[in-house]
Amino acid sequence: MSGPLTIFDRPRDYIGQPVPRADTKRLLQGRGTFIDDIQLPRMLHAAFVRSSVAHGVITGIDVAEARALPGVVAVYTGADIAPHVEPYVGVLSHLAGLRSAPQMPLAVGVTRWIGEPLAMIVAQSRAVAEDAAALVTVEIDPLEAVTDMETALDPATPVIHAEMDSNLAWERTVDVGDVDAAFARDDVTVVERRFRFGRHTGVTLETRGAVAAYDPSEDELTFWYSGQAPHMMQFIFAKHLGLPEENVRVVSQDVGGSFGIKIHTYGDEVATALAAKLLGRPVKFVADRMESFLSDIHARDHVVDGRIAVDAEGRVAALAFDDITGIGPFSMYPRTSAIEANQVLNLTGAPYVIGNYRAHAKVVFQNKNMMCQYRAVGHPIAMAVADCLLEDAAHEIGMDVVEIRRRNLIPDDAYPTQSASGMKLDDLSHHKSLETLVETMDYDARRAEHAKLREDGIYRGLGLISMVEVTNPSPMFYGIGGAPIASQDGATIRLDAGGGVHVSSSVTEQGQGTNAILAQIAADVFGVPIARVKVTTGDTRTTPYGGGTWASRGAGIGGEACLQAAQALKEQVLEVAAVILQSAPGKLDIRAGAVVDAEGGAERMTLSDLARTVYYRGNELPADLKPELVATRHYRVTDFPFVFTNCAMAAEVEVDPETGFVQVLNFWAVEDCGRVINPVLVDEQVRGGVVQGIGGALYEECIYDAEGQLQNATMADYLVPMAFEMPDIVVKHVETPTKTSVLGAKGAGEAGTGGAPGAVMNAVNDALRPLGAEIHQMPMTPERILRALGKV
Amino acid sequence: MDIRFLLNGESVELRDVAPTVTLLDWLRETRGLTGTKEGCNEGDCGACTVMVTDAHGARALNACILFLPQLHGRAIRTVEGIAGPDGALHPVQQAMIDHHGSQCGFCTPGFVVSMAVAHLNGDAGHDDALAGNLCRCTGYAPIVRAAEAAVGAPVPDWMRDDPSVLTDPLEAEPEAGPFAPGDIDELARLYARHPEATLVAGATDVGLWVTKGLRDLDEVIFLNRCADLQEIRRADGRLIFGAGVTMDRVLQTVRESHPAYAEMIRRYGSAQVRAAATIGGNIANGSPIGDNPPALIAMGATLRLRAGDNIREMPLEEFFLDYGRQDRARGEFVLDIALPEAAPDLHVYKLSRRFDQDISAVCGAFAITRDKGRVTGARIAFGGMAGVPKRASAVEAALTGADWSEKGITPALDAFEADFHPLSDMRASAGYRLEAARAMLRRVLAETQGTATSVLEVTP
Repeated sequence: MSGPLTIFDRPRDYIGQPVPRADTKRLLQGRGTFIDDIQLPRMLHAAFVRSSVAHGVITGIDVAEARALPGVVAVYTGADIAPHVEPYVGVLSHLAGLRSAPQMPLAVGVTRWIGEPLAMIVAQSRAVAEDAAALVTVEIDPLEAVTDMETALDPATPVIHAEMDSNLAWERTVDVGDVDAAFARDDVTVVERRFRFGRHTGVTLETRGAVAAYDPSEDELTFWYSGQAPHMMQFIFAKHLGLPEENVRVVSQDVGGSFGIKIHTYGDEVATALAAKLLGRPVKFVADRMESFLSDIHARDHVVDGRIAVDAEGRVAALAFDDITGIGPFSMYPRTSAIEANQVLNLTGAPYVIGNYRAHAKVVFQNKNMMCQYRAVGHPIAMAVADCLLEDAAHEIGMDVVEIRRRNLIPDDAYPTQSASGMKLDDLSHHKSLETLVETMDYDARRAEHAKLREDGIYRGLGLISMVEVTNPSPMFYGIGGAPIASQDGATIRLDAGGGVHVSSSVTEQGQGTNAILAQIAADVFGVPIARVKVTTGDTRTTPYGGGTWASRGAGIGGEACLQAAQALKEQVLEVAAVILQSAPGKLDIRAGAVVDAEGGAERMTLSDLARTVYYRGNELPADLKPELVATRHYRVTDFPFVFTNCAMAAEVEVDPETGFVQVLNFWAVEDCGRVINPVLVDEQVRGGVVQGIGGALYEECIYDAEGQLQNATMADYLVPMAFEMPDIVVKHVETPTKTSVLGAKGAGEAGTGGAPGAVMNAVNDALRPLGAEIHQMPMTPERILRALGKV
Repeated sequence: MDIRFLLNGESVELRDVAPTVTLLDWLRETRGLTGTKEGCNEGDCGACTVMVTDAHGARALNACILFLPQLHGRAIRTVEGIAGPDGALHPVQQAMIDHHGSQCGFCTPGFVVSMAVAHLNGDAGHDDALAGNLCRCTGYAPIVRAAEAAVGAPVPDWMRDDPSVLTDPLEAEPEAGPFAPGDIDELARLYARHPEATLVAGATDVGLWVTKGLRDLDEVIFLNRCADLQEIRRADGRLIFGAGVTMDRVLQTVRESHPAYAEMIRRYGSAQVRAAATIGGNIANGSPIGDNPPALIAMGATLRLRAGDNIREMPLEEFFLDYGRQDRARGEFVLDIALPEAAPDLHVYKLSRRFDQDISAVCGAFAITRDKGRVTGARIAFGGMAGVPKRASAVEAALTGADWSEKGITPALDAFEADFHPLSDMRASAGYRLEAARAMLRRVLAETQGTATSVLEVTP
């Protein structure tokens, strides 16, 4: 290996090891600090009156009775708060043509989805606030609700935003090669399918919530929230509530799950901040479970008409599809609701060599809750469309589904290269991952077993997926389009007087183990036992500036910044040590919390001795020595828009053709996320991701009626996976470090969710094929399976 | 109402407790024990799980739909009381660290308590013990591995709560409620005087009236102090469950003798729900999708109701008159339910979109007797197929006397449409329900012919 020596050229104690998370002990004893656990003096509680009509003109809101209820401190309507809030619009300049309408925290004039906040009650307790909310009378003249995205663009359909000519938010086409000519070839087999991907949502166990406190003497707002991007929210509150940005402090402590749900601008949270500002008192808002279902962003909701052409050798001649997706009445601010469709256009077929590719997406407004970025944005659609078409085509031409992948996956030695849609790709290992998968799952033996079981009327199936995952995004993701979303992250590492090390980082922790990974990196690179490393994340006042944790970027970007800061601090400390010890920095090293001779390892002084000398007894140091025992470094990806990872997965299912019930028997995932910093954390990210993917494939769906009413806004009715039906997922790794950083880590948090749905769909279709049935709609509920079988 | 209970080993006495304050709200808002979490406030997610010990042992319960008066005389242990007084971790906590069973940590307290209860009871059926706890981060496997790893570790002595140290507060029966009668006779007198009162046993349903329906309950009679309502007896070849017997005790009792009924109860709610929900409550509630009635009706169960000193008995199916209407007079309450002592040949199928903790789309129960390849009798009942739990009379008639074969049951399959005109709703369509009901009858046939029909039986 060329270049300067790094941490990876010498033994390491922590990086690559299954180090337990330090946070866990606290969480296991109920000592976490989630939003509803925060109690502040004089704190008030908010509840919201939400729209029960999907589309209508608000003709009157009578709050007199609510205001008169003892314990109620304030009641606000949209009109009341309008003068205090600058409206926000969810568009980005690099998504050319994307449009949306200005949004306010509480609806003004017109309500556009059931669950939209219309009025806010602030009271002494949540119970009083809820009682008062029930006393508010809202009069709405209903307008026709636009609920079916497939007819949202019909001329006869009402237009949701009067200032627009249609319900189209955005449209884009990618057209590469000569798709029509490829489909017209007489030596190709063409397979066409219509895919339906249901709407689902994140169901974080901790619902959204916030505590806002405003100090009028300093004009300062502090906002504790259960979220993923504190600095982004700092900008948003400053801009839209008219505060100096430095006077806004946003804090995320323990976050009870987020998965992309808690990275957006929600009206109820903005209103909570505003109420604190107007009242000069802390205000708490914690959504109840029904509010979460009605107002946490939803995801997916696509109908895709796809087709693929393969030649007799199984080579893909062309891939084409049209996607339509419904996003609710607005594009979410500030990330927009067009990113998911854009990802579908960019990522479909990206693992494969495809010369002719046409992808077209329409993003439409509708009167349902808003849709936006949730874990594995766009990936489940992109991966399922390409790999389900590919497996169906393999069966059409009588080829094994592994073999057709071998013939089409981009060769492992072809990098750097690019996908059909123009995505730059490097350091991927599709073939190696696929072969590892085939071996791990004992593919041939399972096929033989299935054939035998079928004779007994037992219908099992295998389905595979080869996928890419977007991780470590560069400024090309959001920043380029004008969003206040940092793609760079920083780490500050400080040597404390006791010899311990404090890391503060701008990435955030939502359970992935970000803080543990930062500690592992700092401990190894700087040279202290991990127990001596303390980590602070999630506070705009005390951490460097950065983007937070989303798009599988915490370890890859935040970790690299931490590595560089630890390296810098080490060099600074060794300079000081060299002076004190009358040696040279190159002859010294830091190991296990002490300065040692680089050769031989003999201890020369402890870090505590050194730090106390610097902090307390500077008189012992030469006057021209200016010791700095703190270092900060920032890192961003510069060479690529994204650092892609790849993964090969397989599902084994059994389908009961009499009830339509699907049981996932086994699942295997071979992930290449580059350098694995903590195998336990990575494996559990993959497992957790796969289970969310299985949820989308089999159970989860926000069911709306034609009037735009969500039918299943409870946990009894909206089904997420539970322990019994989940297999113990086998996870293996191929490690191809990214060359974009010293650390070499890519993300791993979303592959499972992105790939599992397609794998499960392929497996179900494999099981159904002998019965002459197929299904391309998620979730694949028992009833839909029986429909596919023609029994219902 | 005045109550006493143990909380993490300490005695707590509360005066003038309002009837609908939930344990969760009291723990978090009054007591400042914020480790117990609210995830759904409807008993579906288990984030609020606490351990409750009483004469029937230690069980996991959902604190969000547990009213304070229900806790009188019991011992509660929250996540804050699972580690030892000296800070020593409980074996399940250590195993959760070792196996990385906690990510975001919000569901974690509930899992830890569920696991600690199962550990205390020597219950190694981890999937069942954890079926009421929802985790969105881990995918469950590391949690189940942690539970497995903790099996065999000694139970820490601080986990063994003894609520018998509590003495009943001397309390005159209050003039106005909430009431908590001490036995059935007192209940009968009280209910006769206050026939509009809401009877609260496990509160798995009434709890939701409060937490989700935001209803106030005017008069409440809590049944938890009626020990004689919680008795399980055997008499005249019948197994008799008092109305207040919780479903976990029903499950324990019928596991060997009524295997198909037991297998259905295993998927009835969750461990937390079964430990609170009572068999009498499930029946009295009259839900068309309650899971007990189809099996009980197929077994020929009889129900006893009491009003004042009058007791009457009826076949269970006659209790359900119409949607939301039962044959229960004012001031009359479910006393007990009697079923055969064993039901080895009963078949029960609970069909839902998700295996665990899901409301049934269709629940069917079949008691079919045969002689020499012919059906000699059939009692078949369904939930989810009509406005009430209902017998399939036309199907029964078509089966009786028929050959027990694929050909022989064909007329019975056609008879389903005479018996049922099910609803289409978000859970399933009418067509699916009918088809699934027919599939269940075919499955009974297959099972009696020795064909493995459950995925569980053929999974290697």
